Amino acid sequence: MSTEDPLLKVRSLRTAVNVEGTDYLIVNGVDLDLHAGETVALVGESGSGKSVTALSIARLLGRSLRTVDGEAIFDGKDLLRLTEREMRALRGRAISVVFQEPMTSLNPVLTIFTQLAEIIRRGSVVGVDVRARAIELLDSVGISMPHTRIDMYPHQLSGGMRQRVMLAIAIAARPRVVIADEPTTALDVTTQAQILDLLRLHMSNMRAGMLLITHDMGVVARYADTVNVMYSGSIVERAPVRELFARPAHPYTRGLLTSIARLDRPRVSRLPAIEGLPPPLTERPSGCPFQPRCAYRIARCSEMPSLAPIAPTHHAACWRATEVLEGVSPEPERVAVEAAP
Amino acid sequence: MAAAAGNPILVAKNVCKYFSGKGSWFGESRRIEAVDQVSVDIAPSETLGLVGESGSGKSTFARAILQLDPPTAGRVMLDGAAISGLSERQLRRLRRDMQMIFQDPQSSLNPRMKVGSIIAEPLEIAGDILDRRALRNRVHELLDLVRLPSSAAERYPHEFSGGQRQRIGIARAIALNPKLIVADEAVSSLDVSIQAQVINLLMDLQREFRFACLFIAHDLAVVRHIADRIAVMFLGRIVELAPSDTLFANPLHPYTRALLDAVPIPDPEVEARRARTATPIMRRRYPVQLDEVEPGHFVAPSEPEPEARQ
Repeated sequence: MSTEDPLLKVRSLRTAVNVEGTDYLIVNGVDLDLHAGETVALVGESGSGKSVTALSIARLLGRSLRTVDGEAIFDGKDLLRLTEREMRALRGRAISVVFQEPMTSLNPVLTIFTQLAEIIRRGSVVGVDVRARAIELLDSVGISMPHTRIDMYPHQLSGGMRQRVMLAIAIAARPRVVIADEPTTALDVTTQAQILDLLRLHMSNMRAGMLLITHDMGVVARYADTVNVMYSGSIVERAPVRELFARPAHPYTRGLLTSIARLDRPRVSRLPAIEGLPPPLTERPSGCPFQPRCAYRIARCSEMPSLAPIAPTHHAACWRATEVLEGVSPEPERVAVEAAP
Repeated sequence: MAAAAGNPILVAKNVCKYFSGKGSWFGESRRIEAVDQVSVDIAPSETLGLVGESGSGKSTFARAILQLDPPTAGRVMLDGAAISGLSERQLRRLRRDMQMIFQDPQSSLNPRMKVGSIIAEPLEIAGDILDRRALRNRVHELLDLVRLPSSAAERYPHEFSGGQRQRIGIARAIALNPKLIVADEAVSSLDVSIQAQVINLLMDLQREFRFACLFIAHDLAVVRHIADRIAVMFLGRIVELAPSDTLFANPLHPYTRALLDAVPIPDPEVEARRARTATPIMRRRYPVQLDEVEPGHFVAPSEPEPEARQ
């Protein structure tokens, strides 16, 4: 773990959506640190707020959303307080974003070369051979016949190829921070492995930091250094990757890990599932949002636990984190019974 | 375990589905062999998993055997009766015995119909139950089987979560007690923790009602959990077929190995120690030939067909 100052420091981030005149917090107080050379995963299921967290930091929120609190310090500046112009200068250079759906983030009426050239020129000194650099980039992301493909339009390439182009664009200006939002979710598993391997290689070469948003615990296990688990707008657990998987300290993390089918273990007759559903945005209970589904629930849970350290690098937002960590089983009468979702 | 024990519920023999269309952006016309000479059978109460990536033909195969997009060639038999080449009228009588669960619960449930009507629809079409009260009881019984409250019958699909909508789809699929259920990426769009719930439900229902199941998915860990045997498809053809545990313990075909190599295991210790040694796969088909290398374990040749025959 790096002891230098973080590249990116996010504190108390709160982003809301306005529904019929009322603001509801999708991101409810998130803190994050990202160091050079590190991959920090932000993992959660639908409605956790992980994507909106990333979009908030990159200042790419849709119109119905707005960040209402917090700061995101990068290079001495608070990203949340820059003008759109200042942010645009950073995006695509010092800070890159890779999205899930390349068809909507690549310009369909421009060739691959045109789109790459723009970024290369922004990040380079005068005199660089833009076309040669572009071909080199395409090659470095595993695109075969780059000198032919470079003059094609996005729709002429397969989904996997387009995502490789996205990757090339993301690294073209040698960014210090890459924010990758479910970058491979829409791809075949073999393509996913290739893209993520390439991303890791380039991150390492550039000593950049990556914020990786995903729902896939396999991807987390293979690529992340530090993991933040999000549930209903809050980070409920944070730990180095091995620590999180070996000793989960939050009931949600524990439930999530045991409900995943694994290829490397014998089949079990039933997958232990977490019954119930996350609360709708407009009906979040006061206190811990996981209460209705939590076997460890006690009266005190109506008071929201803070993300507190249970070990030097391991934080959990649960009053009973130590018990969860030690595998103490919850009292039977605490088990919440819900209608099956 | 090569042929299903007893009489298989489903027999597919050399099923092909070809499309003619523009092969490339140059505009030349070319036959696209989306499914090419696929043969499988499924026993009663058995789940056959079908895995493959995009372009493997697995969904096209499913639609072909259900006669939704009838095969170009080959034979399909359901419980001993031929279902390929039948007229629509003859097919209609047999459709009750084979049902499908789709990936997207949003688009496969009519948003304008109440859940109760959606589930009752196959019963009404089949004309099994004519009495309104008996129909309502059957709908409640089905909702109960999929662990949804009776009150769900009066609500609309959009009022439910993805996992709940999938349960509604399952209730509709089992309404007529079919012999075969085809689940096409039935849990892929669900959150991981919800997938477990729906998978458990499907397996419980199969134990109770003993239907055969063709389970199509790209998530290998899920398929391995639910399926008894698994067929791996690549570019329209089967490259390996084996009992689940055998396939994962001893994958023989280079494509199967590449696939397994690519799947990250949710365990950082395991991942750190893994040697990912499979050779990368090119986009070339393997010959249509399955050799039984050990009982029940079939593998296609490891060398792709020469360039000219692609």
